[in-house]
Amino acid sequence: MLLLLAALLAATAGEPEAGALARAAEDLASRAADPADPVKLALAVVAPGTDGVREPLETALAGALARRGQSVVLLRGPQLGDPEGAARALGVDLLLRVRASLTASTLALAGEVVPTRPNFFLQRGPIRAAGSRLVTCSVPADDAARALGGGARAGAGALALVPLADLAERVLALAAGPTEGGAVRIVAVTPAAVTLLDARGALLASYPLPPAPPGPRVRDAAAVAAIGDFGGGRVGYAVAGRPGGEILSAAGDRLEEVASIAAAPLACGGAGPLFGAFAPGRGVLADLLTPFVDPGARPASTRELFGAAAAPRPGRAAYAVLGSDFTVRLLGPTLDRLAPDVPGVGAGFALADLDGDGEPELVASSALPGRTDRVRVLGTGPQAATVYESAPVDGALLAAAAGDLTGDGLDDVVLAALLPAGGTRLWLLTADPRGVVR
Amino acid sequence: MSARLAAAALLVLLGPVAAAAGVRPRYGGELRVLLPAAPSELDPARATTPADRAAVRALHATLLDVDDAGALHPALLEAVPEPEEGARAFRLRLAPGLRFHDGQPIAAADVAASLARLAGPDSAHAWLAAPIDGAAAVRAGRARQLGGVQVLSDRELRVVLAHPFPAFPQALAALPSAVVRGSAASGAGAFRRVGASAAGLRLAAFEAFHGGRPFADLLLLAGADARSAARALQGGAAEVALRPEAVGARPAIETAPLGIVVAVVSRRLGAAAEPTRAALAALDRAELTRFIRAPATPLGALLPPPLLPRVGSRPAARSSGTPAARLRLLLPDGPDAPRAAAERIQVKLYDGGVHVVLESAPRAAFAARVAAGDFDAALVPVWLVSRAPALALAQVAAAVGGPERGARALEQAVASEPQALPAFAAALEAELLAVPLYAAGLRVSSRDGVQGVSLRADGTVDLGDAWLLPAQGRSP
Repeated sequence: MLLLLAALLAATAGEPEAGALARAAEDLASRAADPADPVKLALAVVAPGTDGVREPLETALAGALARRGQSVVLLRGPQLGDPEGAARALGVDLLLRVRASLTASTLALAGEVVPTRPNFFLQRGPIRAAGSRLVTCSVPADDAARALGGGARAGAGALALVPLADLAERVLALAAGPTEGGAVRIVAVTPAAVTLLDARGALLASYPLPPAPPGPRVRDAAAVAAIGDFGGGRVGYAVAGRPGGEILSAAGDRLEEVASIAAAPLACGGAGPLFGAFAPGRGVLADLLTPFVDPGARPASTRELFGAAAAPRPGRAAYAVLGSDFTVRLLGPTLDRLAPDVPGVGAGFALADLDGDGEPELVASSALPGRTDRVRVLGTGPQAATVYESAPVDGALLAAAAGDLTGDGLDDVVLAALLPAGGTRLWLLTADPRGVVR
Repeated sequence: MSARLAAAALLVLLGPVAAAAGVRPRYGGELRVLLPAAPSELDPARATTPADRAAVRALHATLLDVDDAGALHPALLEAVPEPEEGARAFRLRLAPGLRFHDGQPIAAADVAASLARLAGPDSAHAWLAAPIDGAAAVRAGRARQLGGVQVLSDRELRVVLAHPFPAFPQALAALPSAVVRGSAASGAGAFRRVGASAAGLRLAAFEAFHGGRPFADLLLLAGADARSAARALQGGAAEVALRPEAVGARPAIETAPLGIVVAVVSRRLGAAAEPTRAALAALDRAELTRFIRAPATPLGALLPPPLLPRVGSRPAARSSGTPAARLRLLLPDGPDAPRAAAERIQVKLYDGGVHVVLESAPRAAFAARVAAGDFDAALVPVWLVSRAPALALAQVAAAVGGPERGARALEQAVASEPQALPAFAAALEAELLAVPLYAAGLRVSSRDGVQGVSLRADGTVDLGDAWLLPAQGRSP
């Protein structure tokens, strides 16, 4: 292992075309940096679940950016908890924050270039200057990257559904993923609060929802939540019956309001965030999907949606959208429709690459009412074959989210079952043979 | 509590939970609901039958809601009002942004006018407003406004009572107290009226309903007999049926047994009145109940056990003397009339030497004749609008003895300690020459794919929560 690491580091320093990390770093640097516009740039790299990749990748990226004339400052340790603040404190022009995902077959980098120059009109700290952009790339993983990643395996273990935690409140929406500090967290939206949980489901922080606006209520409480590129690792949520959404900072495992947005953050994954809007006065979403906040966007049809999911590591399928007819529509990274739709999917659904083959599977609860529910895993190819079906679980699975919660390098799925007696049980669907959150 | 009552209470409690379990509700579609009769009275202050109450529940909204445990929750009001001045006054504050179906804002003046309508001589539930100062004058037609209701602002009013009544907010949660505009043409319920035809009463979802837009886009309320309802559910021509008997293939949900039937003897029978009452009281009520198509339980007191605990000793009906040899038994017209019970009573009393002749009258005439004592004996059905014992006893007293007796009974019941209510009920029963027979509920049958039908604490059905599962929304 040490020999392999030494070999890889040598390769990234001297022969950038030799390894997957170097090729990915060159590719991302070419998209993020303009050699004609050299700037002082802060680089923040995180690799949740595959920590061994982080440092070599950082080195490779720094080299690739430097070759393009950029003056690179590396952010490390506590600076990764609030990279934007750290970048501003350092007085750099740009922040490039990069998240690496490694599966058995693919090394994917998702980056965000954030201008950090002081803005005359937006000088106060947490307010972000306009003009950030996303850059992504993916390359086939090689043995060296897989060895560094440690947890990434060519073949996943058998899927298992294990109880994670019990919550007293009804969970309306779930999100999972690395927050600003790089740690993987779960966000649960309840009728009263947004709560931040660790990967085991233990409560870390709670953010009470602001009072509802005057006027008619929404009959069925509903919400959406996402963790991701809302400033990087931040939490976005929206609740039916309230205008727009809110972005919360989860830095330091505290939830603090950052900004309001004129859209509902539906989901966020490797292909970027997805925004939409609740249908007025209803607990369902309008048929409105945009990759950015677009207050002028109008619904594409009268179809109503229960929610959207994003694959943490997208393949051909990057998003899944569940209509109120309990049919899931799979979408590519540019929201192109992938045929055919999948019928019979309940509101607890997610897209997750559970087996590390580079293509996410569709995790689906039942669309049939009852006192018990079940989890199925379906392929996202043309056949949508069922590859796993759980034993019945108590209650109704009404929310789900994907992320690498066990740290094994593969996606897991956390699901929320509304229990008949009230409250919610969180379940973890994982291929990690240890079946536990580390 | 009898096993049947316990099961019914459990069903009521589990209803909304069971409805919520499983999948997220979806919006859209039309719900066709079959009732024992086509709704004919849409004024909450006048509706008394199950069919009319179903329509009123869909069309109108109350100031407060009450759950199965009896706890109050804000509805049109911003909060549950707190008693002031030793429970002789309450300050009511409307929630902001409320509107009637016609788009007009709901103002405190509308609440005042609605309470005055409720207290008025045309109301079937004037006893509900009886505690309000000035209600007697409005009830007698001597005043049009309640002297005890003072409008303080667009959203706030103060209600002063004639006597302390800490549970007065329970009266505001009763369906007849719903807030209406004008002559009840416009309400603020989950559905708004869009038309009526031979097919039934057609309603549409009210987008600005305070509790949230209902899931169904359209609602059709129609009358149908048992056979037609069964055919319609089976053939997909209707989604829900609310009837005494189950009519669908799926298990029916039973409402709480709040439809009580009381036999009453008129004092005009003179010396035969008490013996006749004793003869009625001697009937085997459990046996009688077996002839009732609805889910029913025999009554040992004026109210069913969950509302009024049974006491050990009750004054027995005096049996000395001879009952009337010939008895005209009056009952109301309509599909919810206790005709099966009347026919069984006819048979049983014949065995005891009493010749019973059944006589029916239209509902309004029936109520007037009962209140005036213009009958030998009568079977009075009362669909309770509240589970609060004092209010329920007052409603029975009003149904049997008229609005003034109802108002007086409410004042007496409120003045009683809770533990003394069973004794008060027994005394009231004797004074009214009444014999409580049974308490019945209704059965909600639905066809496959109908979800979320939930029951209210007063035994009505909340159709705003009902929704339709798509046919294609099944697992592959």
